[in-house]
Amino acid sequence: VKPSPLLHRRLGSLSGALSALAEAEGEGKVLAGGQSLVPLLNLRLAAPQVLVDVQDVPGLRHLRREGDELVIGALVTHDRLVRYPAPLPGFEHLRAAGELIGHLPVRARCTFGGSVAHADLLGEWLLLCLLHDALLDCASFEGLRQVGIVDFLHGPFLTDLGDAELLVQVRLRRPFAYAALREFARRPGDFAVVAVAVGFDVVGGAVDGSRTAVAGAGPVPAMVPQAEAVFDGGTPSAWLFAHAARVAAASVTPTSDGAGSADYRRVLVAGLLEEACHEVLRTAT
Amino acid sequence: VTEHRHIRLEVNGRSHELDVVHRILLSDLLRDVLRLTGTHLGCEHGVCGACTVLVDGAPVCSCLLLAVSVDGCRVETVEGLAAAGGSPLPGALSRHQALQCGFCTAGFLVLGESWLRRGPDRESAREAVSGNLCRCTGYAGLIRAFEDAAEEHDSST
Repeated sequence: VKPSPLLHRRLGSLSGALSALAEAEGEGKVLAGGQSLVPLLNLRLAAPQVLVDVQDVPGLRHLRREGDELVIGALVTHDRLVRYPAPLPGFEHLRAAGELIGHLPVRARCTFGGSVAHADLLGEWLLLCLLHDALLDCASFEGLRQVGIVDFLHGPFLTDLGDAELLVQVRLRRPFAYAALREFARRPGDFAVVAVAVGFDVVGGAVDGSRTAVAGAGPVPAMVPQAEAVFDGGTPSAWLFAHAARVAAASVTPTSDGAGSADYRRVLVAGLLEEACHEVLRTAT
Repeated sequence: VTEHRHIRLEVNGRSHELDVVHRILLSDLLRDVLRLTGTHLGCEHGVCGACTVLVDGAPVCSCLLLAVSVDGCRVETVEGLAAAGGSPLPGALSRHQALQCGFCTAGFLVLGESWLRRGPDRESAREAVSGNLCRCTGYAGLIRAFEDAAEEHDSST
């Protein structure tokens, strides 16, 4: 259980890292926290010739509000986000979601950008990128390119990132007064079987601008506009949440696999969405 | 081509300068090169936590770090914690019979040490131990031992 021979390049600048990726001619892989990549190297499921270690690249560890957006540098670790000392208005629920990821040793190394670029379809950050309508800033020698999360995500472990591109920051564009992520996993810290995220504002006593995103109940994490149609304009109540949950469960298109049948996944979607709604009202962001 | 690099590491307070191949894992460097065999290797893909060490104070799976990635860092292993002494954890593990074969114990000691240093709240012992695997005693004793150690830690600080 050892990585294959490889060339490790640790660059201290963005341009250095981008040249190293370009010089690797498709045989390179970006190493950030390594919590997903190194297991693959150890098991030799991945054997890149060049690892471009970006931990010393400056300017990738910021976390700041720019207008409505929360801008997260690619190298912000989960632990940093969970324990960020200042308030994160409109995005406060990211802390609770981050605590669902792995365990402390994982969260201490894992990075936000690394998780998103790795694109495990059950990843919490990917789901929240969808919920918050994220824009991803990808750097290369051609310059900076912005990609929306829907276009970014091609499939399991597949993204729009080119071989010589580096995800440098993620812009979560949509803050919510109320938001939560709920998931069901076999054990704490495991990837979820199904995860659901919901966010909305309340204007004049009615739900406004809701968004609902679901992972584990379709080919890729996806929004559920049918649930949003139920939420919007409704009065936040147990009845509304139960109704939206039923509609969401009926709208998703899960398939059966070893972790759960399609019917089971629908039951999880309904239960988790209802729980998430009740949770957001308890803990307003 | 086997690429080497010269790295500096502080391990348990001692400075080391080493020539390492790029692909060597921190876990293998500790065990095979520095002969610090207290760090155990279970799964070698970041699931079991037996190889947990502290890097610049943060708990990490040493099997998921290339040694070249921690060039310049400060590493603490179970041997370092033992030499420093004063931790309430070993005694607590013993009192609560929280070990049997001992394979996972080094990992739990290092994990527990980082948990104590972060200022644990009583509720989170259960969450803290969930990161590592123990296949003999189960977790009841471990949770009690962590809680006990936290109480001792609080009263001594």
